[in-house]
Amino acid sequence: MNNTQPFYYHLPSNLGEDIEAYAGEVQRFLAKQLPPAVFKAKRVPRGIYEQRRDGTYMLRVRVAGGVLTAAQACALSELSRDFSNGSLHVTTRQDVQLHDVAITDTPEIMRRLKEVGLTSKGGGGNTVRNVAACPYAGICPAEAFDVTPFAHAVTEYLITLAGSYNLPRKYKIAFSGCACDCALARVADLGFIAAVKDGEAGFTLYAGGGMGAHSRLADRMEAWMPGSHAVIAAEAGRRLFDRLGDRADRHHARLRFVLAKIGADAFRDELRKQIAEAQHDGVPLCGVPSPAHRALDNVPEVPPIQAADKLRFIRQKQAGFVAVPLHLPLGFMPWRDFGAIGELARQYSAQKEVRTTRSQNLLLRFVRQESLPELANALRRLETDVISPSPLGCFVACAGASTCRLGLCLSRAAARASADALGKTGVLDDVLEALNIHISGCPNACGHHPMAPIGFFGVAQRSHDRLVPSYRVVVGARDDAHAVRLAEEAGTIPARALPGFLVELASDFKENRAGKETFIQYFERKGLNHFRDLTRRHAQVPEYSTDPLFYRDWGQEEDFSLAGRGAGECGAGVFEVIRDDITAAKKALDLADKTREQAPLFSAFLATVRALLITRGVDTQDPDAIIRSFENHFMETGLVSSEYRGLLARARGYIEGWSAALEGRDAEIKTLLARIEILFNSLDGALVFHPPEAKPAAATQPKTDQNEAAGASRTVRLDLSGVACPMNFVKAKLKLETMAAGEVLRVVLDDGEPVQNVPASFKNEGQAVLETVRLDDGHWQVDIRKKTIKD
Amino acid sequence: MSLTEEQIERYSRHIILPEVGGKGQEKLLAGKVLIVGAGGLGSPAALYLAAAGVGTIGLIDADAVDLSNLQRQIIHATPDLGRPKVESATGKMRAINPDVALNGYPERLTAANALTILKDYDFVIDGTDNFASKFLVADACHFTRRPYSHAGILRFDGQTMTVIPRKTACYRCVFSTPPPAGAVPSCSQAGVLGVLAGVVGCIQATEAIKFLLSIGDLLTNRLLVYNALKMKFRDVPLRRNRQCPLCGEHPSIIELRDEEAPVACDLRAGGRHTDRQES
Repeated sequence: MNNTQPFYYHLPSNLGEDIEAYAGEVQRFLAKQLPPAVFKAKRVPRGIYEQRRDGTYMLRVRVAGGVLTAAQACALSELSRDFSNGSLHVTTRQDVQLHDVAITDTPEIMRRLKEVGLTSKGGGGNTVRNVAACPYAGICPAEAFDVTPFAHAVTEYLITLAGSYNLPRKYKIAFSGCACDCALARVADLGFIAAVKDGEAGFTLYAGGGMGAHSRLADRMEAWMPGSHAVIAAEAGRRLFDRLGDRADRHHARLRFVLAKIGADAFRDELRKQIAEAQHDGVPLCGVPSPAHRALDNVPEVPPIQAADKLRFIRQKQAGFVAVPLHLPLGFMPWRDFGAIGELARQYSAQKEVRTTRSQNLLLRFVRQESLPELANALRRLETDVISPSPLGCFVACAGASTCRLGLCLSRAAARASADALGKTGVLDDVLEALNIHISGCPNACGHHPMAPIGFFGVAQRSHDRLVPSYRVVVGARDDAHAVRLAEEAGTIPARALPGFLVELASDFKENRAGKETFIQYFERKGLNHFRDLTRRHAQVPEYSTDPLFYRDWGQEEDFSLAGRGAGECGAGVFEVIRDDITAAKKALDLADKTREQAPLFSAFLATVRALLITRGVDTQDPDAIIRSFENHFMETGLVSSEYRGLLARARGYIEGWSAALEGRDAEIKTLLARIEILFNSLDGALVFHPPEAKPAAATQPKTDQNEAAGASRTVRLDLSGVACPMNFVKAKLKLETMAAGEVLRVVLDDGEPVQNVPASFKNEGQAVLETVRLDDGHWQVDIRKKTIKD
Repeated sequence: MSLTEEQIERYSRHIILPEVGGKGQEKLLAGKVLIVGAGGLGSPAALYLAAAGVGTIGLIDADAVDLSNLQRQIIHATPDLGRPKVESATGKMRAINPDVALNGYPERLTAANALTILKDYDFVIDGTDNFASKFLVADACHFTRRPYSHAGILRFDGQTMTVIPRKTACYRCVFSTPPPAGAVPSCSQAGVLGVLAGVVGCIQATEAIKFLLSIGDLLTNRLLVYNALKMKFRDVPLRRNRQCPLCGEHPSIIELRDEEAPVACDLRAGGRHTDRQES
């Protein structure tokens, strides 16, 4: 293999040592000397995530500016063959991911990446993430100048800094060569859009954009800044973020929250101050290219030209050269094909490179137009059809609930089902070409739905008292020279309705399209309400008995449930369900206010106590179970004051038929709801609450300690030596009450009466006494497992 | 867990009970019970509820302690003679359990104040001694939708029932109106076994505690009749009465009113002597 190709930027000089240090950590983790949580903090900033299935990992390789040399593409293919499931994944941020990797292999993968000038460092965690760039940079007739060297220079500078790996949250930078903004700079933390002023190459600088549960368009910081200051500006943004980002609230930590908090003007002042300081500190200047001659009348053909042999291509600004878009179904490609593309890049690309695109595809550039037929033949020999337009080619989808721990819906399965449906209806190629559909499995926007002409993100909704996997429909995002705006919500449809919705949308577009109108133009002409109506027609969820499939996600054999996924894994999509419950509680309270009826008061109460249970993996329709779980998960844990026990008792009375139980309790329900909202707002992505007040919780029990591993295997210890009967039992019982079903309480008891009585008392209560062991010092150690509700 | 070390010890015998536990004890501490009348029935109820750690107890009685009360009203003692009953009773309750918040109302329960007072409580114990007051408690509980325990005692006989208003048979479902004056003898005419008040008052306290804990079966839709001489308890099944003037299909009582002809135990004073609320 030819590894002599030059790298575009230098990896940190200490990367080798860093990999060996990490290799040592892997060994310690495997030897159980390093707790999983500590090891997680080591691997995630190095781009290694645990997948949905425990013990399987994903490794994300940063591809700066989306540029892969032929040698790098070949190397990635080999790594996929040797260490992963054999399929490579191109992400919407132009990274390349290896899936199903064994943790033991990760150091070796890093070593081999380093040999070809690649790294997974900063692939994840609260770090400077991959620096994105327009895939057409350097070839686009409309661009101001080639931004690729800037993406590389910023990468080279930032990935060397230790401070880039311990930020309040992730920091994403993007470079676009013109206002078409193919790199989505206007939804990045820091975005650069090439602009020429008085013949000098520079940038319009944006900050504070982002896609996610709270999407935001960036604010313009500088109408123009010299190109030589790009690295300085990126470093200044990093310093600003480091200083002002909210480290306490991971959920509101991104740079856009800093900007929203202090305002654009204050942010700009701060950024300018940081730029001046960074300059003073000697952050290097970049070399600046002389701006290209812009051939404004020679804008790229969209859609690409289709040659006689069906191979689509884009004419480059360099005469005689073309770029060929290669479609990867949902961003995936088998290692063999990926390696073959690397070889084709070596053979057919004058620059011997291939670029990853933000639509999860590849772009083969600098192909001589005369070699197109030869290239087409070679591409047809690939296992993946990368050249024919296909319905699946309209889709961009994140991993979703299949491997991602935050995923809620199976976005890829939904995309495939929709593509099949579109294929069956025989939608014409030119319609397909115009459709650009983005699906995210949860509101976190990895499928880039906020910038989609047609987008969906996974949510859960409740219908007929069951959870329904669903998608929020968003339409009309635009980011080009004429306008920039986020997609707007048009409604919510069940996941099962997605293909039908898209088929109707496609035929609606086909029939009413004016000439060669783009979908965005169509959206602007028709208006949001047109799409709201369309969405509404697909929003119905039939009763379970009529069609149970609606309660099952695409590609799933079982009914949709968050309970099975466990706490901390169902991610931000559950926020929708929580929000629904909070809204329902408020509505019911209003109704109760007006009618003075008891039923809405009870509904309000139930929605209030149910709202957050989903974060604890509890999903039930039984009011008794809801109240019990609420007590277990929120009162026993101190998240909600035990003052509300009276209210809970009354609600139980209501369930038992005392219809007036909640009379006059409106105010109490309202304060409880307010508390629930506070907790909800403090929820982080890992579904941990961070209420504003300090929690005394476990600290008040000095004799108790809890081991680190959470979940049903947790053992709580309580030393009751020297405590006489029956207080030893009383204290043990109180401790057990604070624990979750299935957890084990390990008590130390005195010899004699205590060890004779306490285990017997627990057996009387129906608890399982697992083990009674005599300790060396004459005391006894008894393990009691808390019974589950079913027991 | 919000129980203090002292509370854990104080309530340990409750906590040991599987049906109560720490959570149950917290429910009791959050509970609010109103006792109407600090007399024969109210005395044991007040003492046990305070001891049990019911967090807030209200006590309403307009009377002062009289020597003839002490044969059965065990919350009061000889040195209390002449003191307002509310003051005497809350003193004892505070001594038993300083955890409990006490609200004393040294006044008579009337149509004018009943709704306001009842609103602050989860459960009401009717420890009154006359029909007018018993109907007033029943009506007020209906309108405020507060569950309550009714009881009455005479000679060697006692009766008690628990009512969840609008859900289970109420006092008026069984006895639609007070009997005419003189038709039923009062305690002071007919006499009452002191300990009978203790037995029935304790049953009322039991119901309040069970209600606050949401455990067991309440004494609803049945009247418990107790004869101390024969030492027999009898359950009389009851049903809601469609013709009930209070909770029936076409109620005639649609607002709270004082009954006109209260019949009381005490014949000592003439005229309007019925302020007393004791058994």
